This record gives sequence, structure tokens and C-alpha cells, in this order.
Amino acid sequence: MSRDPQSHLSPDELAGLAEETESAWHSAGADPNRDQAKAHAEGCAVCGPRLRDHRSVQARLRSMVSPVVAERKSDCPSEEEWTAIAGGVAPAAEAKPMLEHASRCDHCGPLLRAATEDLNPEISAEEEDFIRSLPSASPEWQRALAHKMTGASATAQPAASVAVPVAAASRVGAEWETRSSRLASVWRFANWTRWAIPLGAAAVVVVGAGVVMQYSPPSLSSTNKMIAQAYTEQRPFELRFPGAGYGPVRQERGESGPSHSRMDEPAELLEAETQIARGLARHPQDAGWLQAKARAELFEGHYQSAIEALQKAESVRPDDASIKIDLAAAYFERAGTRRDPAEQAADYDLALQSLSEVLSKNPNDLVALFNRALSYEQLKRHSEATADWQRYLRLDATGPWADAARRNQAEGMKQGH
Amino acid sequence: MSLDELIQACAEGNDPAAWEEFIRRFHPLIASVVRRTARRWGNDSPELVDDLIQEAFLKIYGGRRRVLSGFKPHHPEAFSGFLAVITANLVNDYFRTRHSQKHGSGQPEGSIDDSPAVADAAATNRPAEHVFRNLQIGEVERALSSCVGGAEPERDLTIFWLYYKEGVSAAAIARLPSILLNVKGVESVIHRLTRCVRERLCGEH
Repeated sequence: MSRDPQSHLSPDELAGLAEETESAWHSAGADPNRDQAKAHAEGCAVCGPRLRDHRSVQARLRSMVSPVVAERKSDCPSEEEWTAIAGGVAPAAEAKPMLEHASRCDHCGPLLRAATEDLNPEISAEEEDFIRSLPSASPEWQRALAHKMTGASATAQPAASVAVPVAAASRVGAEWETRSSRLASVWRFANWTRWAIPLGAAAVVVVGAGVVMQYSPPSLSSTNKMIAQAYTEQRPFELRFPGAGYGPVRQERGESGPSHSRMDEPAELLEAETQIARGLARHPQDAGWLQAKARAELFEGHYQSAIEALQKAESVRPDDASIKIDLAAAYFERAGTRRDPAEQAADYDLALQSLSEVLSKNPNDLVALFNRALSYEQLKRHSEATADWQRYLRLDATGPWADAARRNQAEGMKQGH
Repeated sequence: MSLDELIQACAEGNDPAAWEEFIRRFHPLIASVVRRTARRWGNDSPELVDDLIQEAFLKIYGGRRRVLSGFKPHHPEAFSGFLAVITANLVNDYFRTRHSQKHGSGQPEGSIDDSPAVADAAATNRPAEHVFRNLQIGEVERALSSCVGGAEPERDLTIFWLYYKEGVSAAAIARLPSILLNVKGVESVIHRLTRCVRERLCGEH
């Protein structure tokens, strides 16, 4: 039904015309009723001034948008927190007062606006074109990255699947090598402890202010130091760990189930895991990185994965004592999860074999000696365990590990009688 | 493969096929977040964007057990939001670090305030405009006080100010936690309050 040209603007017509932007105002509308309402206002002594007032107020409302990020105040949340809000991952109860704050704060409001624009799930046509043009959009690049990440060989794919072009596979690695130096930087995870609990374990990756990560090529020695540090801080099992200091055992032994909480795991381990992923992405068959991966797996209670990685590492470096010690630790810990006594004994035997190999070449290896004594204890071979404890204490008579050895020896002797 | 199955497969194992699917599925999301965030810092070259995309996937892979195992989505978009947040933080951290390295050690870390987009905006700021804007805001605030009502007056005020004062779009506001309205609902709140404020400021009520 067409509009009566003589009727004054209805409230809806007034609002509609008042809220039109300048460009919409000057363009011909697709709605004939809107055009007629506009034509009426232009010629009406009542509606014309009224509409002008409304459009003027509307323009003032639009001009209120903060043009700058004002100075941060002491109660302003961090930029990372605004990112979490914009991503919809912050709990509603915490988001509510923060949004009220942002709506009145010219430091936080623009940060929130920027974050909502950056995290907008809708992708424009221009962005789609850009993304499609990236090398990383190609299936070959993605397949190569997946294989590099998981340490799988591209040739191990099912025959039916498309083989990874060598050029593409090497490009991921090559680009990593060349650009990672440009990307040399240190960055910090945000302090997201507040989000971590409601998000569950998923958020732990971003927990922990001060976790430092390197964009520079990952360093195996620093990664191993981080794992050793993690062990020292939160010793997950009784066995000694190469390079780690003494710490009280804090975690019960056993494979990590779904309910296993990782909330309290040391920050060093988080960083080490990322370094390991990057190291393996560059050198999937490197024994050192495989060993580091296994150590992280071992720390987390993934004994089978640790054993598989260590077996691969051992096949590359069959004479490496540290790999044998780690492999023994993985067997030992896996034994603790076995229900079948025969399987359990078999694992302890495998641990013993590995450690004995190490000790046959270096009888003074303290870590191997300590761990073998524990393995003997598990197999109730108390006299052999006692012999190892005594030898250990002759080599290392003082300090917390010696104290632990004495306690274990006393306990073993008690059980042996 | 459903999203839950894919997340599970990637969390549990080292299956390259699962990770390839993961990368394929989330590449557009991660690429768009990387590009937009990098652009805000003034460098969204395809080479850098590709590097940062790779970094993002490696980071997710590196912490897969933590990132993926325990993830319990509150809503269907929760996982995408979570990945987007990880990615945006990674890119911001990269540029902040670059910025602080450029300005020498011992300097405060870079902030999005330092990004060219924000610096450009800052250059246009003038004290007189600032005073005028504050006067306008005060005037609108007085008018608004008689317009709010209903079940969620605080939320409605937040929506109004986020939209007009901070420039957040209605669609973006609808995606924020605690708003609990769809885009139409947010638009309706804005429309109702705007109309009321306009009428007050035009002296019609």
C-alpha cells in the first residue's frame, strides 16, 4: 500500500530516516514508501525541522566513538583479557563487569573493539581471496606441515592418498629454517589463570605469566634443561632423571586418564613441549628430539608413547646411555600401570636390562645405579637391590639423593626380611 | 568426522591424517585472525602471515593435550573462539616483542596502542575535541538515564555505550559473553534506546 503523501511522519518513519547514514540518505531508496516519507519531510514545515533535529542528534551520537586509545588506568584489564572476551571464551559472570568497564573506558573500549574485529568469525570476500592465495592454503603445504608436526614420514601414508611433493614438504622446513631467524623473539603467555578453571585443561596452554618462548630455532639442550627443571619442581616418580635435581615425589604413578588434571604442571614443561614440536617439525628423525619428546611424555604419564619414541631414538643412537636410562624409566613406569603380574615383571626386567647395559659400560653412573636399585626392589630381588644401594652410597654419600637411597635401602631390607 | 571426533583424534595421537584435517578445517579461521591482527600492527605480508599461521598450528600441536583433551565447548562456536584467541595472542606477542626489541632492552613491552593504526588515530586527537566529546557524552548520559528500564538495564546501557562510544558493532556485541542476545536482540536494544535519547535531546519528552 502506498503512503499518503500528506501524512506526517510516523515515529517509525522518523526513526528510520533519522538513523540513515549520509550516504544512504543521498542515495535513492529501494523502498518507495521511504522515498515518499523523505519527500514529505522535505516539504513539510512540521516534519522537516523535526527530522533535521533528529538527524543532527543522531550524527552527534555517531561522533562519540573514541578516536584513540586513552591511557591505561590501574583497574584496566590486560589486552589479552579483552581478546578472551572478544573470542567468547571468558566466563559470562566475569565478562559482565568487564564489559561494563569497557563501555565507559576509552582505553579498554577501543581494545575490545579491535579484538572483536580481529576475531570476527565472518570472513570477507577480500579476505577469502587473500587466504586462498597463501601457500599455506594449499593441501600440499598443510599435509607437509601435519607430517612434520607429528613426526610421521610422508611415505608412510596410505597408498591411496596423495603423496606429499618433496618440494612442498621441504618448503615447510626450509621456510621454518630461514624465517625463524627473522621471527627471533621472545613472547609471553598471558596470565589467563582466571579463564583456565572454567575452560578446564584446554586453557592451560595459555596459563602462566612469564612463560617464555623462543621463535629462534629450538634448542635441544635448553629444552632438556626445561624438562629437568620441571622434574625438579614437580618430581613425578621415584626414579632419578638425568640432569634433574632432587625434589619430593608429587604425583602418583599411573597413566594419565581423562580426569588427570594438568593444571599444576610446571610452566617449563609447557614451553618444552612447544620447543619439542618445533624441533621435531624440523628434524622428525632426530634422536635428541625424539628423546626430549619421550621425556615430556614420560613426565605426563604417557609411557607407551614414551617407549615408542625412545625405541626410535635408540635405533638411531644405539650406544647412547641417556636414551637407555630414559627407556628403562619408561618401562619401569609402565610396569606400574600393568594389572597382569607377568607383564609387570616383564617391564621391570626390560628396565633392568637397559640399566645394566649402561652400568656395564659405566659402573659409576649414579642415575642408572639408583634406578636399577629401585627396579630390583620392584622385582623383590632385595639382595641385588641392597648391593646397588651400598655401591650408590659409596659413590654419593651425602645430599638428598643419598638420603633417599638410604631410606629406600632401609625399606628394602625391611621387606626382604 | 565431527568436530568432537577430530579434536579427540588430534588430542590423543600423532595421526598425521587427523592433523591434516585439523589444519585444513581451521586454516581459514587462523589465517583470517593472523592477517587482521598483523595488519593492525602494519605488516600483513603473505610471507609473515604464513609464518605466523605455521607458528599457531605448531603451538596448538605442542600443547595439544592441554589445548584439546579437556576442551568442553559451551556452545558450537566455542572451539573456534578459543583457537582465535590463541592465535591473536600469538600474533600480538610477536609484534610486541619486535617492538620492544626495536626500542632496546629495558623498555616497556609494546602494546596495541603502539600499532600504526592506533598511532594514526592518536595523531588526530585534539584536546578541544576531547572536551567537546566529554560534554556530549554527559548530555547523552543524562538523557539515557530516563530511557533505560526493563529486566536488564545495566546490560542495555553497556550495549548502548559499546555501540556508540566504543564503536563495537551490533554483531560483535551479540557474540560477547554475558550479553545473551542475538544480533536482532542487540539491534533492538540499540534502536529503542537511541530513539528515546533522540527524543529527549530534541526536547520531545
